[in-house]
Amino acid sequence: MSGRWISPPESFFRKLSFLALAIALVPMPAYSQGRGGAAPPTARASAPIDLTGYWVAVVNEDWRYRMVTPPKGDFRGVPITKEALQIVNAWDPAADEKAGEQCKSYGAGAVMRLPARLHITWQDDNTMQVDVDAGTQTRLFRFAPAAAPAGAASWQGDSAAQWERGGGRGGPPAGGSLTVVTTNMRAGYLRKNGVPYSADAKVTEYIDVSPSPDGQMLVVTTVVDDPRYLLQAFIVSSHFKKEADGSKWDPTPCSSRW
Amino acid sequence: MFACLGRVLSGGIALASVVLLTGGSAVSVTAADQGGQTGVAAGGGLEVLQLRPNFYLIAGGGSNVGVQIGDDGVVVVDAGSSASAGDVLAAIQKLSPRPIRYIIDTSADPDHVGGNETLSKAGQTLFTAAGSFSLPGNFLGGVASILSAEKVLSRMSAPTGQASPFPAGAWPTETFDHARKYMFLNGEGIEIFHQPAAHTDGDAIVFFRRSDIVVAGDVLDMTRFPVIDVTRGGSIEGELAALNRIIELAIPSVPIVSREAGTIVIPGHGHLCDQLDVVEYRDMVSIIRDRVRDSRDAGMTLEQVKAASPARGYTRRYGSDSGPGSTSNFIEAIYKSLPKGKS
Amino acid sequence: MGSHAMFVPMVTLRRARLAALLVLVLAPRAFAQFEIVGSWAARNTEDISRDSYPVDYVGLPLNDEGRTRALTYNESQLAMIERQCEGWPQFYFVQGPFGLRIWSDDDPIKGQAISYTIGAWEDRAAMTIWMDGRPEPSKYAEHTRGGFTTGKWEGNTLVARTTHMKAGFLRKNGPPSSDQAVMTSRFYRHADILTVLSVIEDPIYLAEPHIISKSFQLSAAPISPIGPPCVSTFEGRPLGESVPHFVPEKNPFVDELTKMFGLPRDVVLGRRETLYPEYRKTIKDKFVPPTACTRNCGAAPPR
Repeated sequence: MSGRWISPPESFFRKLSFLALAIALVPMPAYSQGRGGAAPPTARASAPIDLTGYWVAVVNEDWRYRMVTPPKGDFRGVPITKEALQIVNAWDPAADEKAGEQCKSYGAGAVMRLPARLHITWQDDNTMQVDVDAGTQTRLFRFAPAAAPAGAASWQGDSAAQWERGGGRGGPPAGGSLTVVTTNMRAGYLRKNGVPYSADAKVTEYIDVSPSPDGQMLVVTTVVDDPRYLLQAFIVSSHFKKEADGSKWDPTPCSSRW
Repeated sequence: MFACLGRVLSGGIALASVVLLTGGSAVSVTAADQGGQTGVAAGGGLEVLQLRPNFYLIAGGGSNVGVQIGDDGVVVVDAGSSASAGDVLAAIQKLSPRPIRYIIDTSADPDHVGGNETLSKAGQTLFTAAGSFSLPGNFLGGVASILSAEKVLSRMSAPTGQASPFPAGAWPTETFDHARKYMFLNGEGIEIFHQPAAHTDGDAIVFFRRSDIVVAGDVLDMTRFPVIDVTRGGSIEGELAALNRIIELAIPSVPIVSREAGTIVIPGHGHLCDQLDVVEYRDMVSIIRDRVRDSRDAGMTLEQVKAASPARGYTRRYGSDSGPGSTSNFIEAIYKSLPKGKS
Repeated sequence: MGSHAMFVPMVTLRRARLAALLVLVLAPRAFAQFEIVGSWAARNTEDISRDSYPVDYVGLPLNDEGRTRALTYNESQLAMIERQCEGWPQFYFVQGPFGLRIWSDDDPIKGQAISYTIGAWEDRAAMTIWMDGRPEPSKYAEHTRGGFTTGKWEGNTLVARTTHMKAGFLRKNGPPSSDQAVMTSRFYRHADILTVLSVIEDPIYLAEPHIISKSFQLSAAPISPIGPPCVSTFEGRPLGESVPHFVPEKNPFVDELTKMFGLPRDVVLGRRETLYPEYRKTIKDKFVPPTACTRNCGAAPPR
């Protein structure tokens, strides 16, 4: 067999090479199970980004579909089914009020698209709370192991959240984002003029935060899947600016007309 | 394939080299497409940009200076200001060891001709041998020729007995008073067009045909409204005609628009342009002209026209409160040089 | 030979060196990244209300100068042969209805991307995002349709900054963008969704940064990396004729959106205060919505 006699420095190099290769190849998640059985960090403690604070929607896009009530029958841009079109054409805000459903356009499928302010806090270490001043809505994003209590469908449904991390191998996380999946919603409206989503809808949201010329921005990418009322996913991205405080916080009740 | 396409499509004109000027020595580094024209710092706050393999822009020395190099020597369009002349010359000498043969002046403005004498004396005329025209060897002492429209010489010199604003060594040595002069140097045709009654009555636009570069002088100024010097024969209609001439000469990147190729236009001041940039500038001048003309035709005085802000919508980009290119001067020049009678 | 010397077969030695080489090659790769390469389809379910009405600056934070320029614009300018192929500045890759085809140019040794390129279309240049830290072009450099873009990874976000864009339009109906505009774009990928957030700063025409965001979906169907050519032709307006324009205060279309949709004039003309929720309070008692949609209400569903 051919080979070489090597002195210790080369041997050391050989060992280091294989050790380095092992480190490089074996995944080492940043927050793996703690040694000796310690509890995993909470969602709040392990948050790769900070979403807390007051955020105001900046309505640069789709202004007349968001800031004011669009005319009846206008569903432009929403890939609705024929069944949904019937609902669009039958929209009656007075009937919604009478039925106590004036919050129909403030549900999880549309709330982040409203011209509104958000106030994001931690209700507890594994539950993020998002208050929306328009319609005085509250959303709860629950991180495992927290889970929504079993219950009836609601405007905001049940939201399961998890952090997406952008970290490298073996190192601390480098940024990240929040993924929220919401189900168990009451049927609602994607737009105030009655463009519907059904109780079978699922809302997936991706929330990112980034610096901006005058502070920070929040971007919420909302994907609504609805096998009943949508031909394909309805995808929108809404952006918010961070505010220093809640001095402009302005809770207003739900309205089916305005 | 798409990787190569990506390199070609980015940032505009593809570069061939970047010239580093450090401590008096020149090091030429050839790089692939830089994705944009990176300038190289030179002395005196100048920047040198390579536009074509044999064509450079020297910026920051008063006016923009165009430099064509080759075996025949160096052709310079505009010489910059007298204060920057030494630095401009040093920058040119780092681009080529060949002598300057021609300085072509686009107008008689001090920031364009101030460096004439310095560059000319450092250069060498093409007419170096005694010839059959009874010219002595080294015509005019051997200095590089200074070429311009005839009115430039009139402006730079003075009638006998009066002091001229420029030294004699800065005066043009060759002039022309017809529409088009041409020469062929360094492997390409060079056309010099006289644009009458534009920025002044002595404007020239220089077109390097193979390099596909137009040196526009101050009929195009990316830093301000055009200076239309009515006292020196400038006029708004001539200015527009000059801009339209440049638009005709320049070819944009069609039909493959995304290629970002086409004719380069060097303005008197400010960043490099292509045909569309000149169109944008021309449209601005045309629209403001229309507003001034309509107000004049409605019977408004000059002061009333100024008060109506005919340059509104453009003042933030091009306007200023003082200097020859001020908003007020621009409006006044339009008002005074518009053809008489209602349009 | 030292007393601790050992015999190592050549094959082991070669494997060790290969392992070390692999570590050196792989280790510098930034893992805080996502794959951006591919074809990304536009679903066009958002920002669909910026129609081609002549005066529609809704959602734009224009300053007075920008508004005046916009109201001056006459779309007949597109009949000018020299403007027919003018195209868009780079904002259009987010604003437009088309998808994105993105590819990378990689360092053959390290494997890292030197650049990412978002392919062109007929009226939009390709956008190459240089990842290698090269400097911006000179302030005297030509401004192009594509501009000049540098990029870096911030965690799992690709951040691209574009300068040196040509003067152009924020929208095709006239709101301008200057040659001093700067665009910062952030790319976020989640599953098969690519969201782009672009912030446009323009000290000449904007009262505050203009923000646009759009999501694209990964597509198995390839998107063309380059659009069709543009051929200009004479349409009756010779060079040298007056440029079509309006007196800004007399633009005849300024009330069109108000009549059609009940939008207040301040909204139509793009004032920054109209972009925030509190603006609704000022118009609540005045806004009269149209009773029903009469045109462009949406595509009839097939099923």
